Amino acid sequence: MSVNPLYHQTNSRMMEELDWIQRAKADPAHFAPLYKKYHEQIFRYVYQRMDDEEMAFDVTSQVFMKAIKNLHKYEFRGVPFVSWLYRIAKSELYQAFRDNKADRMVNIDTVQVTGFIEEFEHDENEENKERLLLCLSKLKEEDMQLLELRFFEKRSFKEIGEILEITENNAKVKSFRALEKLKKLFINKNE
Amino acid sequence: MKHFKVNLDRKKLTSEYIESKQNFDSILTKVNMSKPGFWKSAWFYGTIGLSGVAAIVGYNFSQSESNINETIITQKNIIQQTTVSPAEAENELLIARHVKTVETYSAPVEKKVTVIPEKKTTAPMPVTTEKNTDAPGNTIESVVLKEKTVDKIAKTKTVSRNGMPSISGVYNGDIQWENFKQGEIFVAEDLSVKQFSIQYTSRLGDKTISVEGSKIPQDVVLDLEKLGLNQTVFITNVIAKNDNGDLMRCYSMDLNLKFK
Repeated sequence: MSVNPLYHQTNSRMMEELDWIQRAKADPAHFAPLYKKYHEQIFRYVYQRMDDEEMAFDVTSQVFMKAIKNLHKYEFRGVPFVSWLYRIAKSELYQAFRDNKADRMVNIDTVQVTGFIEEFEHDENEENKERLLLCLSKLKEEDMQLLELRFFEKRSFKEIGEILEITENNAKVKSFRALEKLKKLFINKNE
Repeated sequence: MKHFKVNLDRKKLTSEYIESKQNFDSILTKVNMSKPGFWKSAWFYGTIGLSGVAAIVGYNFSQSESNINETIITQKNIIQQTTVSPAEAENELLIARHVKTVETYSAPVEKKVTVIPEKKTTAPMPVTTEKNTDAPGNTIESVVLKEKTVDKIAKTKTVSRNGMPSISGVYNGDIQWENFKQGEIFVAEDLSVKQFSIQYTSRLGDKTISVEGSKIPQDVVLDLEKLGLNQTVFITNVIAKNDNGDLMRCYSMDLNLKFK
């Protein structure tokens, strides 16, 4: 499975980013290049999980506001800055759900549905598609998060680990377990 | 049970559209607006807190200083005479015919009693300590206190009930004249009285005298004896010194003198 290339950065890129961060710590106006670079990624991450577009933009703004406010707490740990932004985004997103400002939504396209059905070695028909969507809706939040990050957004296990604050190996194990749960649900429904 | 709503093939937003929604300036403005005021910052609270503590400490210090500087009219100081009734003023003149000067308690004290014996005050006005000029030539300069020596008490604190001062075992209430005039103020084994004030009524009126030491001054005894009436004597500002040299303020005493 191919992974999202946006996350993978060269060392020189990361150093350049670090320079922006240092300058932004002194003056928030210098956060602009980071905002420009990551706004779309963060928005897509948020919008993938909710239905309301305007609310997704609002949450994205909140993410960047929080990032600027808490930039003094940021410590470079050899991973791209965006993983820190994703963690803030995850927190803001669930805060929005808790405040009932938005509903949790799973957005999937036909190609991904087909991919799952093929993985489960079943026929790709309308009935199975419907069944898969029903099974997805019945997954637990933790499993759904892993499937979204790994199979919908095609992120590496390292990145998943950083977003969910777990180890890379743990992300790997948990992702496959989540897939197994979906498969089990799907097969049981089929029988 | 369903946990999520699932959307299939939702219309994708283009990168251009998302970029068009970028507004870094508004985010920056919101960040600046949401910055807490300087009054919410740690350094502000720290400064205010320290100033407050300093103010409280300073206030307490000045209070203790004012206590320290409390004037104690010592034995060297003297007789502050209060208002005397006209009848007493006449009486005073009669006394003055026989007494030229009033004895002083100690060397630095200067007391003057100047009397014009031939003329009597006739006015119904009260005679005051300093001057009472009723008519030209009728002047009673009864008593003058001259110098007030102020002793500074380094530190005073109220002692416990155990430190209740007493004279001949009496700390309050009736006391026989004989016991009083020969007695001295006793507080406790480890406390010796260094000074006190005594208030009483003499033939010249009410008097407040500050005394160094623990004994009732002989002059006071004479004054009281001359009047020879049962009266209440107030002993206040009793300052005692302990073995460590700390000065302490003891409780006051109200003693009812009983002449036989």
